Amino acid sequence: MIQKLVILLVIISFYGCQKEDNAGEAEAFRLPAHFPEPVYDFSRNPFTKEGFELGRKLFYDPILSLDSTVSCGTCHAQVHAFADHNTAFSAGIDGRLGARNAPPIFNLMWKKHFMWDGGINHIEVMPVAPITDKNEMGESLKEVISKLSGHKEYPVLFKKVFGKEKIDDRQLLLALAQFQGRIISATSRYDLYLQGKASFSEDEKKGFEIFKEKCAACHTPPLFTDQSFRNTGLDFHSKDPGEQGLRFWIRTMENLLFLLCVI
Amino acid sequence: MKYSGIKFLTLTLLVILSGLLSCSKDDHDHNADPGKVILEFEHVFGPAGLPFSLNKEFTHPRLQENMTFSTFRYYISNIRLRDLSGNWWSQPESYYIVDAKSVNDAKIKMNEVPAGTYDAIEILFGVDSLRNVSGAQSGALSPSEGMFWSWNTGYIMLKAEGTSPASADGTFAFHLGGFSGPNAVPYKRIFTFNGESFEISKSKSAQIHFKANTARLWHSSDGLAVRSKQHMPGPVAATMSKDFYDGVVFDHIHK
Repeated sequence: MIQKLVILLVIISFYGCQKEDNAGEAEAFRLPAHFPEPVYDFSRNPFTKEGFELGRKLFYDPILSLDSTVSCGTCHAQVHAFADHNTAFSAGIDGRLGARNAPPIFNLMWKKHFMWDGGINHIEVMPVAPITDKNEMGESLKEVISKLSGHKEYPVLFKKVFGKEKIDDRQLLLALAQFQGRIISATSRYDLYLQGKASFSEDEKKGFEIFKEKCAACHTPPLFTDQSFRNTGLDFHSKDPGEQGLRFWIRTMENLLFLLCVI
Repeated sequence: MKYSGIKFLTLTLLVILSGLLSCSKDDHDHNADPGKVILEFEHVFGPAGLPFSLNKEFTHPRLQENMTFSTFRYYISNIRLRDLSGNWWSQPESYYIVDAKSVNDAKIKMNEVPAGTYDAIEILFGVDSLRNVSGAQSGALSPSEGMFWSWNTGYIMLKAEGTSPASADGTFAFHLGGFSGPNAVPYKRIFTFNGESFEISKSKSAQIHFKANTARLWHSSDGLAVRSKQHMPGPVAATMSKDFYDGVVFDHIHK
């Protein structure tokens, strides 16, 4: 009886711990053990549940576009691993077609350069391009801030996260980084296999050996990209050479099942 | 007993007081009674020093091309002041846009300059490379200022736009930037006020007056008939911006 009580007490005490962790502002977040050190340093943008939720709300809100028809999530669809719906060119406001399609956006915390051509050097400034591009959301940052400031919910939500009376574009970008930086894919069977938590069949093992020998030089595990930019055979698309002279991001191979479209 | 208690209290107070005094003495050099320094950039066109203004046609003296500006803006940053003993004070968060559209928009107001006597100023024309790779910024560095390249991250450190009959399509646009490699635009200059110095305190401010010649963009570069657009870092951006920055001259100080 006493033993049971002790066990119960121990469980309760741990439960209490856990609850505290979850409720805590700083949120005890565990990085995937088999991943390298992240590139993005959240200490300059302290992660909070409210910040993440604000970022998520903004991500799915078409208010960021000129005519309130396109949100980030329109092209970065969760069902397609946060990439576009298997289209060659993503469509923005008025159905305007851009020169490329929306890349998948997960594990961005480990990414050094953004967009297919790597032209953007920081996760926080990445959304400036799609928001302001005339073929995507076609809106100015000033106008976005003025719309958010006059909204019935956003001023309160921003104040809760950033503690300031006025919303500015830095806060908008930090909130989006809180959400986008935490879209993490690290629990596929492959990930579990690496951590010794799942096993591969003989065929899968052989496949992995071949992959390591023939593909991994560019699609380097565990993120399946060496983050370099290479000629992907798109030379004939001369209308869009990108910033690296026709060399494009070595994309991740994770979630391929959901990403039928190949750049 | 009571006496020694009071004595102890007095002693303690004295120690605290002396501590406080020494604190404020330490701070005296750099924080006590800050004053104001205002940098005024007067924009002129050509060596004759014609008063520059937007929406007015000028003839470039070297190119003999007519041009009318609609925008002329540039970043200055990392301002430092040297006092008479040779110590430099660096202004924190020192980022500004100088805009030639009006006298007031071309004035940089520094409100918290530590008291002291200064004989030199250092200005970084452009935005240092670190802030080009550090994510979302605010104030003058906010991307909503329109001085930021969204698709190839980096600040447009100098933006000059307008119309010209010399240009094939009638317009010109020079977005000059680039923060790394041999063609980096940021350019440090030190001005020593022709040997003059000025004192800053709570009651003493100074206005440092510079003249900036906008025609210097084409001091050694091709005219608008050859090149009327520049939107990428590279040797053109580096040469044009450096020619302009080199043409900024100290004029006088109002004390």
